[in-house]
Amino acid sequence: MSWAIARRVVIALVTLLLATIVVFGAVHALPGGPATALSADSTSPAALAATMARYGFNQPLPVQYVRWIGQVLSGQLGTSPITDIPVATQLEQRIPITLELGVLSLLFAIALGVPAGVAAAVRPGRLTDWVASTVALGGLSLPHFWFGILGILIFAVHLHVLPSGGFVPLSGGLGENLLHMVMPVIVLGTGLAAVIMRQTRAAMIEALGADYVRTARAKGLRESQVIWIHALRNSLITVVTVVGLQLGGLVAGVVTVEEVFNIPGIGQLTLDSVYQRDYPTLQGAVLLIAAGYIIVNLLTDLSYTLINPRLRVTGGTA
Amino acid sequence: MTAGVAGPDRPAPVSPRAAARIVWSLKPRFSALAVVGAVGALIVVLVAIFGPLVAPYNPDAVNFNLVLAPPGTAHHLLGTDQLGRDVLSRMLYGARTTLAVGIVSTLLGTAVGLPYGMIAGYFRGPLDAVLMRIADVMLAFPFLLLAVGLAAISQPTLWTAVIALGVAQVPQIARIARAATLEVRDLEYVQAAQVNGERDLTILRRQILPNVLRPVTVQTTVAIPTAIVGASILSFLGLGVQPPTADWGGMLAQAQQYLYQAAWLGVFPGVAIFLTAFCFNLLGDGITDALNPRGRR
Amino acid sequence: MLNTRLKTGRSRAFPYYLIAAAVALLAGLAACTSPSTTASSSGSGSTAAAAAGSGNITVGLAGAPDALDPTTGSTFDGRTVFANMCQKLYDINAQLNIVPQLATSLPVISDGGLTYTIQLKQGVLFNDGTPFNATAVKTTLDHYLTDPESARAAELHGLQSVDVTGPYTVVLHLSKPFAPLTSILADRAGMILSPTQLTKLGNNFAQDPVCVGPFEFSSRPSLDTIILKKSPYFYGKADVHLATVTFEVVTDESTMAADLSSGQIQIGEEIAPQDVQSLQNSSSVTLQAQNSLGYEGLDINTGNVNGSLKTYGTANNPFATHPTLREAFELALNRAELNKVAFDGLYSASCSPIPSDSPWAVNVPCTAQNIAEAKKLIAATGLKTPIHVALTVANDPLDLQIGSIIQSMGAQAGFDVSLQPLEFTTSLSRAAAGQFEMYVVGWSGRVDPDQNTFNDWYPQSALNYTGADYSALDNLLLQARASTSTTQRKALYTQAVQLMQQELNIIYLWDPKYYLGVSKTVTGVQYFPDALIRLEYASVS
Repeated sequence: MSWAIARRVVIALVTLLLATIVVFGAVHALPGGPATALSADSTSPAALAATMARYGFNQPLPVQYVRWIGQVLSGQLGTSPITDIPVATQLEQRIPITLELGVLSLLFAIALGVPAGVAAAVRPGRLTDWVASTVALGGLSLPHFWFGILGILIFAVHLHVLPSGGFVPLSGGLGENLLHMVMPVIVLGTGLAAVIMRQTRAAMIEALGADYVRTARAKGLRESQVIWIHALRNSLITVVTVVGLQLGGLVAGVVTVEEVFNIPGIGQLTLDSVYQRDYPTLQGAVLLIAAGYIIVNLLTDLSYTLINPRLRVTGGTA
Repeated sequence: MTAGVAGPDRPAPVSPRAAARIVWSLKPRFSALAVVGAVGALIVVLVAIFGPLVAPYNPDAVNFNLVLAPPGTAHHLLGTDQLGRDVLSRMLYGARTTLAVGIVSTLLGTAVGLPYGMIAGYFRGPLDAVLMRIADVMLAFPFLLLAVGLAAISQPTLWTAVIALGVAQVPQIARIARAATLEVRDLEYVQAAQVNGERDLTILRRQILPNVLRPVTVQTTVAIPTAIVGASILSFLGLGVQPPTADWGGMLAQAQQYLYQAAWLGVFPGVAIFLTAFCFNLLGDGITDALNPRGRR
Repeated sequence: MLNTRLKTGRSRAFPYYLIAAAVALLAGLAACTSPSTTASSSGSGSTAAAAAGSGNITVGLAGAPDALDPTTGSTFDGRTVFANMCQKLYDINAQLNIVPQLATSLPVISDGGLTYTIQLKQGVLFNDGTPFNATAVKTTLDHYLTDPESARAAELHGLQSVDVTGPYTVVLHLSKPFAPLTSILADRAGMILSPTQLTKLGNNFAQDPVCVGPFEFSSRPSLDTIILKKSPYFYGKADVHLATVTFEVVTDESTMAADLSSGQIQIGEEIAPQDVQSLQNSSSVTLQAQNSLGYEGLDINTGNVNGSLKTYGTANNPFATHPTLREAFELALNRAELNKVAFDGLYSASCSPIPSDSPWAVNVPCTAQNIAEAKKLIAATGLKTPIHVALTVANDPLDLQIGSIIQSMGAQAGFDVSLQPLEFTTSLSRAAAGQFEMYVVGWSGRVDPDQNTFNDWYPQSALNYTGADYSALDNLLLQARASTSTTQRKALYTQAVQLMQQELNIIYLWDPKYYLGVSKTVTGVQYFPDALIRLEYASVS
């Protein structure tokens, strides 16, 4: 069993290495460079060139790549040539914010999606199911940036009950922090809630029709126990896997939500770094996102096989 | 009770009671909602094809004297935008662009992902490992960054959006195709064909493909609305279809500037995107249920 | 095979604990590593409340400042931050006159403009306690002149050396007369850096910059957030009321307006014309307007074939081969209508690089729209209509809208303008390389007219995207920057602008107006035509 785990970890590392090459190549394929972004208000190309030379941007690409990898492996991520702020500092500041946004959205999605999915599965075809499924489908179809803009217009600008954006750290008060998260979390979590609801419903319907449930009922267990303990437990396997796959869409969601609500997270940092051609920051941020993905995939894969030994036979990537 | 083995034309059996309950529960939903979805999707497609023929104005015709007119203004049912262009006409033309990007990118993703996954699943071994690692790397890259990169390298156009969205679909479709291929590849009749000396290509086409088509079709129909919404996100961020070409996401992006003066500018395209995605989702669900009577999505 | 999943449901305990642990871990991570930056609302230490200042305000900046080192600074918003933490030898006042800030009076110019003698303020400390004196000024200016990464060197034209002739007197020696020098010393090149900090940090000065200023640098946790706090060393600290100032970058205009309305930020700059109306009616926000010092217009590539710094040739587009087409294009445009449609009529139509309310404004009339005349000029060239040209614009909504308007106006005269939206930085890169035909671009502007003209029109200048090379114009510009007579310079610039309007490498279109939104709880904000937000005397209730 440990061999299967080790194998997966090695594969994940190889994927990560491939990702670094792709990141590096893609970033440097962008036309212009950090000097370009600064040249709009500047009249001194020689000075800009000197700064870029200090950062080593005038060296051949493979050399720059090796230097960067070496830096990363020793825990250094470099410094932004545009602002002179170390990349690590910027990432450190932003990771918790995006994490908070992501985790709260995930919790919101679970809290909304799982009960809805169970309720729909328990009485399939009835009104509850019909309403819940349609609403979930609606949530899937909603362009969340539009949803966010409408929300800002209504709740922040006209009603003044919620802030229009930005982020307040916990040190500024838990209440303020959460208040600023309300709209972004709802916007980001809705789509995910819809997916979770549908998957839970489908898996629960299967589970409720399975043998062991009949057995449990025959044994005289209460219906609520059957639903919540036995059936749900097994449905969650499917749900977890699918959610793991969905986290990809979450990144696009995070970027747009951070843009719309002006939240200083990793998504916004990445987008800004592209526009500024801030190579070290962009590389660091994209690497972080890719690593996050790969780790989540790995964990999902591992938990999948851990939970269900029979699936190790099929390889588990299906 | 035996689980049985799933084959291309035999859905796996379940206990009759469970099957009956599931099918019965789905039936009313299937007919009502899926039909609604199908009709809605059809309407959108018709609008996309024929809308431009009935549009009252040229979508690019500017009119600086009638800027930001509200809906209900004479001759402009849905009002005009910040350059005086008729919103209704732009909505009609925009349907074509938005739908095209969503559908073409999905077809592109399927056209690439299907053979990709089948080859990986059929030949297994090192080829499979390499192909799936590449797919993992593709999966690790949010399509948004790909679109941003493509847009910056060349120039953001409709095609960079299509490519970015299409590439984003490949890994998921490939995984599904691969899984479906794995399901049948070791079955007796496939092995029999191999022993008989049939060429791999023929086997892939005749034996494997039918089993793969069903889950991939399901995934494709589900992917279309995602691609439509994804296309609108790209346009919103300035990475997709470029003005002055009318497209719903782009109209939303421009509307954001006029939240105070003309809030309605953002309502129509947003609602349109939502309803289109919703109808396609309903349709997709209907097709899924039709192909998987056990209700497994 | 996949169906075996169903059968195993019975026994394994689902690891709820795994999920719970993961969520708890993530939540804990998020909580514990929360950014340590705060906008604290109380002053520092045990000093008296008045000395410590009270209140914090958050200022929304429209763009992100680059590295906070006056040596390399290249962004407009960087200058706003500097305005509050790095005083200069000279500054401007509301009437755009140059007034002394760290100097005591305007420089005494002698030797035909080759020697500038500057007297310095006494009793001033840098924000790390180092005394401010002539030696410190010399150290800074030498640094600006000699550091290879210094962007100020190119601005300090002709400055050869700096001498210290007294504890508070410096003498600047020039190799050739350069009239704009005082105005340059009223910008970044006049910001004096703490020699102690400069020695300590060198090229990393931006990580903890120290100058003379009402506020000192506290922290910059990310690209988008800069925190300043009241300086205990500032010579005028008795009149500084705020305890901290937080700059937040808000790039989206409607977000800026929304944040102002909701009280998220107390000051917001560059409010878009579309939002001006509703903010004017707001009960919590007041708007101040300033005409900008710069310009916006249409660059037409006539000669940039290898890059703005390289040799010029003839660009491959109809405008380069047929100069009268440029005149025709200008005749097709209606500046007033552009202003009305794109900016609600709030900006000013312009056809000059020097804004009309500047003391240096030149009195040259603008060409009115005349489609018939435009068509005649096109016909005279013998070229087939429509004439196909490409217009590069940055792909943000405003630039796209401007592009659309120009496109439709050009079409009326027979130009088929195709829009080429590019990501902003890409567009800059292409423009500098000469890979464009027309490009909508602007310049933030400086007080001295030389700074609004020379770098765009003089051959082989970095910002000469259009490849302009007209010897008569070059001579005028060189003369104007060397002359020390204001009357003479004004005459020279009038002639220069007339030539520019003939050649039309740049069709100047409008002067923006800067709208600053200030919450009604904040008073004492100074906003001059350079559009820098000065908070020295500001206070919040």
